[in-house]
Amino acid sequence: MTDASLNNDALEKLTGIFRILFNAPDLELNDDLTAKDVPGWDSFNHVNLIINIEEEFGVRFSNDEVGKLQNVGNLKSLLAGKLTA
Amino acid sequence: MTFINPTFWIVAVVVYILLSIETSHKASLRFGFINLFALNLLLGWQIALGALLGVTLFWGMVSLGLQYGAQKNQNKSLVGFSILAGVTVVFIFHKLNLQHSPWIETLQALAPWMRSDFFLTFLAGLSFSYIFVRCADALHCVFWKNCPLMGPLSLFGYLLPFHMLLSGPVNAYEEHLEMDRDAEPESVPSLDRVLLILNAITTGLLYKFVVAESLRTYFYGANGEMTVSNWGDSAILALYVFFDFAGYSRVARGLGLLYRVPTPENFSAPFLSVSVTDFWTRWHMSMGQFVRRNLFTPIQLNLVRAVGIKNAGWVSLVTMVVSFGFVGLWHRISWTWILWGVAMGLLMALEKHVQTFAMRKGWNRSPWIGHALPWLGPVYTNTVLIISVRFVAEEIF
Repeated sequence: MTDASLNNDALEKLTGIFRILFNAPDLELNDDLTAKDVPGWDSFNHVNLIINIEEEFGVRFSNDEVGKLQNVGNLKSLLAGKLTA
Repeated sequence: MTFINPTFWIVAVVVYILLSIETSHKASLRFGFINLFALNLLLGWQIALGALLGVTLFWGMVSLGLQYGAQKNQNKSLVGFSILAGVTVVFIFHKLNLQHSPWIETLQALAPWMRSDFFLTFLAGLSFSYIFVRCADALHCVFWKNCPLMGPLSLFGYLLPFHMLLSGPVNAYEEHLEMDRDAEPESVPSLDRVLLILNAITTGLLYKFVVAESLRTYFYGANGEMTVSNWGDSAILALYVFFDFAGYSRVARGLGLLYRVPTPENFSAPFLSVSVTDFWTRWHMSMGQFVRRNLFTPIQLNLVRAVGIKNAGWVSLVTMVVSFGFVGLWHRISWTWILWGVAMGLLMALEKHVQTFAMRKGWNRSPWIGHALPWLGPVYTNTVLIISVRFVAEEIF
């Protein structure tokens, strides 16, 4: 994990992915948001979420990173680290 | 080794006292050593020593494999798979239950040096099914996630923890490693912690020895065998298995909290599940997490990357069948359990398609569905459960 943070543009894109995937137009991405808080965020859609992010941002996550994600805050800082690397 | 045996509880208290003695050694090493002492008292020195030799052999192979893999990095996965294949052969040997079949004589005639009768009884006595999944988790972590390899005694504590030996739960290798990173434990446990421990142990004993045994005795008599000849029997058996298994898991969880050894929760109100998919996140949770960690996520992720996200739904069909086919085989190597696993996988893939369709239609935001699902969902899930229990009833015990 890294301390880097996402810029507004990237955050907007990420929020868009969540809203479309989980069909939740009002969903706001706060750092403490977890799979339990979003209906439909199960292990199947977790993989879909990761693939969508990989395709949108042109990054690649390892199996280990995918398995370790605990909440949206983890995902944002992991993504930010990959975008700034 | 059961929780009704007073020796078990004497050993459990002695283990706590020994773990409380402050030393400069790592927590996982201390637990490994004291665990060896506990197994020696509970199962006898021959089995404890045999298990230690087996773990040391496994540790030696992994250690050598890591050295070889570090020299030729491209072969690291191959080495990991080879060791896993070796452990899988032992697991299959154990699961075929040959010691109770006429095949044992043939096997002994073919390979008298192997002492199959002794070896199979030894594996059964250690509940090797759980040791197998822990070995697989350790190999995945060490070879593919670059986790450090514990020393042989620490590994012994991870693979054969005496309080989780009988019926799990399946603890994760990575969490066991965390034992050594934890801050110094408090010399006197806090009141909250004591209450959590007492709650887990007492509810576990209540589940197992009061509720499960009352169910069995009430419906089948004090010495009666649980047989399934109608749907009612199937429902009773499902309840019995829950209270029996969850009881063991709760006691193990309580002891794990007492010893500060990672021991995951195993059940979370499974009969309230709104779907079969939901059920498998609440029943034998530690096994579900193992399957997600080691099978479902890696397979699904790599297959979806290969064929594209538009085909994710169809890919999930394959991944679910493979994952639950494994769970079926883990229970017993038989056509009944294979079919059970494949059917569960297919059903969950179907549920996923229905869920995706409902989300596209925006039904997930319908207040009517929001109100109906917590009531109708458990009816559907428990119906499937009762049908599936009747299907495998002959091979549960």
